[in-house]
Amino acid sequence: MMEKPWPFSRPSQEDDLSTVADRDEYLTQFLKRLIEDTGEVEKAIESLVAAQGIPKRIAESIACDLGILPKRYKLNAGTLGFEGQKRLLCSQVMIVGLGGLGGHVVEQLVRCGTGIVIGVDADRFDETNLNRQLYADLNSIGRRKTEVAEDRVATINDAVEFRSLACKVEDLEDKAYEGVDLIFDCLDSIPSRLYLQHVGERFAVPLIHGAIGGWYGQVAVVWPGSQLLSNIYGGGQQGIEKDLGNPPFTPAFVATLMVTEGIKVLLGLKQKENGLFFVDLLNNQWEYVTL
Amino acid sequence: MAGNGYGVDMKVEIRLFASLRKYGLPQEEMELAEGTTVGNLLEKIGIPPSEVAITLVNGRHAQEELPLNDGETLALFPPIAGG
Repeated sequence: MMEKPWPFSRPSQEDDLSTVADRDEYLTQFLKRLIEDTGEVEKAIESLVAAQGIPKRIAESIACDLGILPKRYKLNAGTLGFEGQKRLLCSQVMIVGLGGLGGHVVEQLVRCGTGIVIGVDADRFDETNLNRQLYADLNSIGRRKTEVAEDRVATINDAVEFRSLACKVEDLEDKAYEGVDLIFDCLDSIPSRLYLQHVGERFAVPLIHGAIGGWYGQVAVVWPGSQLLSNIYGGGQQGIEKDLGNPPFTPAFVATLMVTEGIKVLLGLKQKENGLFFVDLLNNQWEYVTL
Repeated sequence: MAGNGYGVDMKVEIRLFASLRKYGLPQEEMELAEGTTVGNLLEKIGIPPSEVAITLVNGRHAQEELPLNDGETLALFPPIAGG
């Protein structure tokens, strides 16, 4: 595609863009003029991406600096603010387990505009997933969960970079955690959850823990060093979901809680406290216990 | 409360959550002999320890060996691990 002739004088090649601060300012001014020229932030962002070869999520974060949001984030603004939206666009999160909880967690984080989302799951969809897993449908049976999530993300928000890791969390290499700000524990086994707690400690990354069984669920922020999951699970190997199964409404509810807790952590709105939300949707009971 | 000769020395409130409600009322006061531990009480109610993940006495994490005191509240939560 031919590059559009610029309606304003572009900074020359000789301009010093060697320092990050200068480059940030340069890109900001560049986008500002593009917005003035096109009158539309979406077009201006696309032009900035094309002209400067930067990821779209970064271009969108520059728009936040200008106090302008793409339309897709307009209804986030009153809640997250420009600074909050920018932080999300510059965040990198990992979702371990793309099943009942993980699908909903990915969906909401992507719609929020979380910059980099890493999905970890070794499994493929099967018929037993259809009752509750957001990305399980008649077309996705037999496909890798990471692959389906990646396709879905691309149709919702092309500014989000989704990285697929189709393996068990225990098989991830250290480099997979580089730059990760937050990990969502959407796993379905206690030993794997305890392994993930260990990972969070090793890399000093907080976890958002979520678990479901029947009408019941729990959510907690696991701060590195807290050993919260060890306190919850002790030596147990199985939960009540073994008998109660997982109906569709509980994962969606618990995933929503996980995402709100996660966003608060990313935006610095969460105090470091060791507690657990316990939800009983049968009796409409909600408990927060400190551990 | 002083001993009354019938082995009932204290009252403890029990709160059962989620699937543990099948073992009794969600909130109930029980009369117990002094020295009763968390583990003794679980046995008395008939809850297998494997069905309890979180045990709180007056909101604090407690082990099975902990003796209960008059007026305390014991809250029990089951393990939940599905995803």
